[in-house]
Amino acid sequence: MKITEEDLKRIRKTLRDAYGSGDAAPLGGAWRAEVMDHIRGLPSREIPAAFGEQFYRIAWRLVPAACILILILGITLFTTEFFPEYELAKQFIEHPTAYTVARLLGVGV
Amino acid sequence: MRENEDAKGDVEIVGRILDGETDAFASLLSKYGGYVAGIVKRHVPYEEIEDTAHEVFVRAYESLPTFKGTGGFQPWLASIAVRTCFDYWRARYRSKEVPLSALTERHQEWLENALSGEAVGMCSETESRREGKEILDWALNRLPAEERMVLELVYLQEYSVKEAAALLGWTAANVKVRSFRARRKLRALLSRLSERGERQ
Repeated sequence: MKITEEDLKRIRKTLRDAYGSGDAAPLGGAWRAEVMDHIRGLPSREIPAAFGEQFYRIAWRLVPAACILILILGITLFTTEFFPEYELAKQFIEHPTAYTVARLLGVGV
Repeated sequence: MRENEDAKGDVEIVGRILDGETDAFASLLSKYGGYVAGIVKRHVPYEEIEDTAHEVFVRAYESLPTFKGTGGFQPWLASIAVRTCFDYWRARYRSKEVPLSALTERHQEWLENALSGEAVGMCSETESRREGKEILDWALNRLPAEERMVLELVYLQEYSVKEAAALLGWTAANVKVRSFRARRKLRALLSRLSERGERQ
């Protein structure tokens, strides 16, 4: 006998009753203790922080390195007597093509 | 009101666990152990309930940082339970461990009675229900894991397509398509069983 969609609808309740039958779930105190043992044995995890929080954490770690870098660059500029205008004029006279390309790329004044 | 307080309590417990108080998870385990077992019981074989429910709680614990607290802890946990059952069947099908039990004449008789409306009254009897359950298991074991889950949720547990989609983490369209295919296959399987009975 071919079962139609209507038949399937009609026997739905019967199938549902059969589906819902069965013994109660066998979970007790021993099971709970076992789950808790497993959970306690899991490696402690780092709770993933929000993006902003993670960014600030990394940014603050880089602060000392950035300060040292600024200090080194400052000292270097003072000791080597670097003048941007002079370097630019020098570049224009010695390498006019490179100067034009630099201007086109928006580098330099 | 009580539900709100419960939800607040759950969020507070989750907060404590995330702050490192692992033992606070025991209260969630006591509170929702039966609830999870009730879900798992409907989807996996009886002898697998303990292990699957265990897996559900371990997964829930590991996923706690993703719990937002907006929809409540219980629906969130239900979704993990359903997906764990789905993964259980996927693994079983992959390893080809699904039992394909054969049915007897009694089962065919049960189906004939159900179709003619006679089994509805008999269904209160344990024996009759067991036979019905065996027929369902026989049919469900012949469906792919996806269709099996959808058929159980939508056809047998009467979840709406939207609810089933939320539980499985699929789109509603996917659930609809799979539900349609699953019902068609169930119909074909039951027809085959019924025809086999007629031939004998």
